[in-house]
Amino acid sequence: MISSRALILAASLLLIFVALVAKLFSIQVAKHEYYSLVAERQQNKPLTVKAERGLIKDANGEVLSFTSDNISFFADTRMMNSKRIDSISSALSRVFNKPKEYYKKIIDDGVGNVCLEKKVSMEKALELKKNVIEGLYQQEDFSRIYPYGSLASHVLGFVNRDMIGVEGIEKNYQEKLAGSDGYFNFERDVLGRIVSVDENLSRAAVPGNQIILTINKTYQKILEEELANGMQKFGGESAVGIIMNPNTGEIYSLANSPDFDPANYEYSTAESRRDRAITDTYEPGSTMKSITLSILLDQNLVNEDEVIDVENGKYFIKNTPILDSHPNNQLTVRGVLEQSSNVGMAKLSARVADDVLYKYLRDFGFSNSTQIELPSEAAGSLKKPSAFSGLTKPFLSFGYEIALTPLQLITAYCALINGGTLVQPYIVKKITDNTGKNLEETQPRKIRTVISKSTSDRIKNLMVGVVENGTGTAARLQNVLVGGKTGTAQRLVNNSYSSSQHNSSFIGFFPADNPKIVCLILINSPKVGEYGGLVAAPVFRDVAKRMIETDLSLVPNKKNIERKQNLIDRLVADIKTAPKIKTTSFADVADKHVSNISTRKFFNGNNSSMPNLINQSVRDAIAQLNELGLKCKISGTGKVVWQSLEPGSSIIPGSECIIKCEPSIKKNPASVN
Amino acid sequence: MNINYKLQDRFDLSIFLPVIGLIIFGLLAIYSSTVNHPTASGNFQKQVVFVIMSLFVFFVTFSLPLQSFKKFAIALYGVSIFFLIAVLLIGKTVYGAKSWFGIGGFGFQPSELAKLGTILMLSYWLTYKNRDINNLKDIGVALLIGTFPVVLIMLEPDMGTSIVFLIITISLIFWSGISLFGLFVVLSPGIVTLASILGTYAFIVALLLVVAALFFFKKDLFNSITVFIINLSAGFFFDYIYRVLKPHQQKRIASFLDPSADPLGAGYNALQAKVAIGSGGFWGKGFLHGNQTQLRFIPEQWTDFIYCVIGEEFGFIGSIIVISLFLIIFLRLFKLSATAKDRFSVLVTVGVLTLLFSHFALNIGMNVGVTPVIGLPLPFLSYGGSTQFINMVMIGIVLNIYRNRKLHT
Repeated sequence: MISSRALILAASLLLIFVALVAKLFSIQVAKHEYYSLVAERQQNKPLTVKAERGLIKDANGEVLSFTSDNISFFADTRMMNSKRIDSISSALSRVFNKPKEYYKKIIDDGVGNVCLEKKVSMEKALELKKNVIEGLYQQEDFSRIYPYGSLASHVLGFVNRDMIGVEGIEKNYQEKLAGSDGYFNFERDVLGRIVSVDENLSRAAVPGNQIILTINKTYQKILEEELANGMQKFGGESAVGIIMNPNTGEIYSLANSPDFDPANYEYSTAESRRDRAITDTYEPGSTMKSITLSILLDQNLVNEDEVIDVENGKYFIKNTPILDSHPNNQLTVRGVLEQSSNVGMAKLSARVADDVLYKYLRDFGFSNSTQIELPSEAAGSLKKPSAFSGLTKPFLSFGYEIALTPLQLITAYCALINGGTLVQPYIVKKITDNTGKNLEETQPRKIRTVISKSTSDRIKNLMVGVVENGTGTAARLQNVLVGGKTGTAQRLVNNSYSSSQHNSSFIGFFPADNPKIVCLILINSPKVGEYGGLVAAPVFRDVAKRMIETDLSLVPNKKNIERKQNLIDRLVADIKTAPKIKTTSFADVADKHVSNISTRKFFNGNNSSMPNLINQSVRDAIAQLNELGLKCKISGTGKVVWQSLEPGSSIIPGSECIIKCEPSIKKNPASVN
Repeated sequence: MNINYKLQDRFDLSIFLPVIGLIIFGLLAIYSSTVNHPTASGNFQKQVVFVIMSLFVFFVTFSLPLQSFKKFAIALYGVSIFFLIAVLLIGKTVYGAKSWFGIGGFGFQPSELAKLGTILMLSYWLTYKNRDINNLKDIGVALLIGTFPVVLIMLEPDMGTSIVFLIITISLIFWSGISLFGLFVVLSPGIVTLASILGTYAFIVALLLVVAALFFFKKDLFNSITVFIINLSAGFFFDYIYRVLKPHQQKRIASFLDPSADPLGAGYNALQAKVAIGSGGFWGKGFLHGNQTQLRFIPEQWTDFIYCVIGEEFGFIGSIIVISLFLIIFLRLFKLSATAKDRFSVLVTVGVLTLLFSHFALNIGMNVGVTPVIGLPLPFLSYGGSTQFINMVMIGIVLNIYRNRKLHT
């Protein structure tokens, strides 16, 4: 009896022994790795050290975006008792001037760690640090600062709360700017107290790289201010401005109006954050004419002085009327561009084959995104020759049936004036590490030759004529010769061309003989005036003028351009002794041009008496006043209804004439200047 | 050799040396877990003093005449009961249990003394003048002797020690030669109680099994109904007990069922113990290199969770060595129970064996996560004076029995 019971007990004893050994084996040998991992995780809770986000600078090293080091305060609600809550709340309320109850409520309502104050400045944080309260923690928290507010906001973009770029350069260069977070591997005990730091497993944070842009802060500021002025003066819906170096493709400034404050992006509208310069496509209108003409010139299909019958401003292709806003009977090819004749361009475009035109347009970069280093760029669209209707080519020639972005157009203009080479537009000049050591530098890149050097020179000359004698006279500068082209396109509103909504644009460049700057101004739906020559060209002039005044190196050899009126004044003063004046290589161009315009006379016999401007268009009035050396002040748009200097009165050069205008009643459905 | 042989004949080195081995392991582990501890760093020196004093007590116990223990039995049991009652009235509350007397800087745990008293008393009662263990009255008295201290200890409350007392009582009654029916009467309420924890259906099934067993034993109606009612009430009684348990005890039972549910609460120790032992691996992290131990992830590790230190720092090898030392002691005690010269000695040996084994199994069980965390020290290893003293006294008694095994009165 006893021995069998002893056996039972001994057996159960051995059974339990074996069970314990088996369990030990299971956790110590079989699952050893798992438990080691658990132990390691408990012991080594790494502390991440946030890397500082890199700077964004302009071409001259001005900091456009930097990161400031702030402190956020947290409370661990699990460690709270009423005494601690009280001391924490009173300490915070003393420093931040908020009621104690505010903090009490946050702590009482919170679970786990709750944030009490976010992104506090260092000084305030130091003030608070004096109070050591258990359960109150602080953490470094960065905020992105844009020292110039909304300046270049569309280029820079912005970061979200987690310091991740959402738009602009901040988005496109997120990885480079972000750097890599470091961590300290602490060994901690059960209460989370640090026992030691494992240096082998710790890594310092690597600050983000610096992005140096091609943006010139000064130009950017001028451009933005003048765009804003233009918007105010002409009441546009939105506006775009781009300044580029036509030879290298560097973007000196890129501005949109309305703009936004990247630091407080959450208060801005999506509308104001839109970078229209690259995301919005539009039909350019007459600014396209220089492109079309350059193709014709390059193909030797046209000669500048060839006379074209422009059909008194009305011409039918397949029963569709093409109209000129300023009807003429005959114009030279030069005149077609200067007066921006749609009829002339449409007729000329018939000379070039569909696929040749298409190939040139693709070579100019249309319908391809420019690959600018900014997010959400649109590619635009262009019909394939097989899809051309009989109207496509003539309408293409003056800027319809094609959708492009402002950046694409100005890039094409770069090729037009830099000797014929399409260059890669770029906005990031170089990337350096946080100490300024160069990591990569963008080199100007030529994509392809689009037109010949001589074609480029010829079209440049023609565009100087536009500014000197044509629709772009408002863009003229006193001491540097400017070339350019105006554009006014009816906007597509609900799939039909609106008669009241226009894109008014101007692309100009200077100095004309060796362009260093090309600048595009586009104002959408101006309420006052519609023509590019009246709305966008003055904005361009103001931008260019201020750029030259500010940056003396831009046009080092300024010379006073003696224009026609100066010449005439001298002739009147001393006919016999008048020297042969040849101010620029373009002066004779202007001379010839005057003789070619048969339908227009700016000089009504007696040059020194005031002409009658009533019922003339503003443009004509301005042109005449300019010719006479009078300053003019214009109010209103449309046709002149009143002038301050009586017709026939004698003129004192430099004096001022005020003209009042009213809109003409009738508007052409497809009028394009 | 000759001397050794003679020594082995009178003094079982196969018990004594493993005990010394375990004590050394215990001292190492206590040193490791307290050396960097802000408040417990003196515990190693204290334990060294306890060990030296307990060795002295051991030799005294070993040298006493064997018959004296029989004479001590009633007195010791009486004193134990007195202290157990006294501690409920004037004891010190440590970790929610009123189980300590504070005497100077040291504490004294009467439940430790009661273990010795109960083993001696039960052995004495069960072997007194050829008692019939199958007589219900005698079973009842034996159960009373065994469970009276259980009730008092439960009131402290100290679940672990109560369970140990129950195990000792049942195994001594079992060893005395109880009939199958008697064993059924003793054990079935426990089984039904266990079933009631598992749910209503298990409870009903267990009761049906009890009914079936009662038919099998073919006892008279009165006995059968009595046993059934005892079983039924045991099931409901436990439910009642569970509800009157202190929250920390309820939590302990709940956390046994799912220790990971509340990792920083009641299940924390169980989980951390496993992590410490598991991370030790095969060879261990080395003495004083157990991070979990050194970083104090397990509170009061030098008491109930001393085995984690062994597991983490000495690995699977060290853990197996410790278990093996225990196994040697248990097997030697088994052998001794078969060769002891009288039934009292046999029962005392079995009592000591059961006591040490239940401590061993429940403690290591909770360290490796197979039994609930019920707060039992690991004999010879855990820090604590009372336990060390009583354990060494018991080893003294069994070696005394070994010394006297061939002597005949």
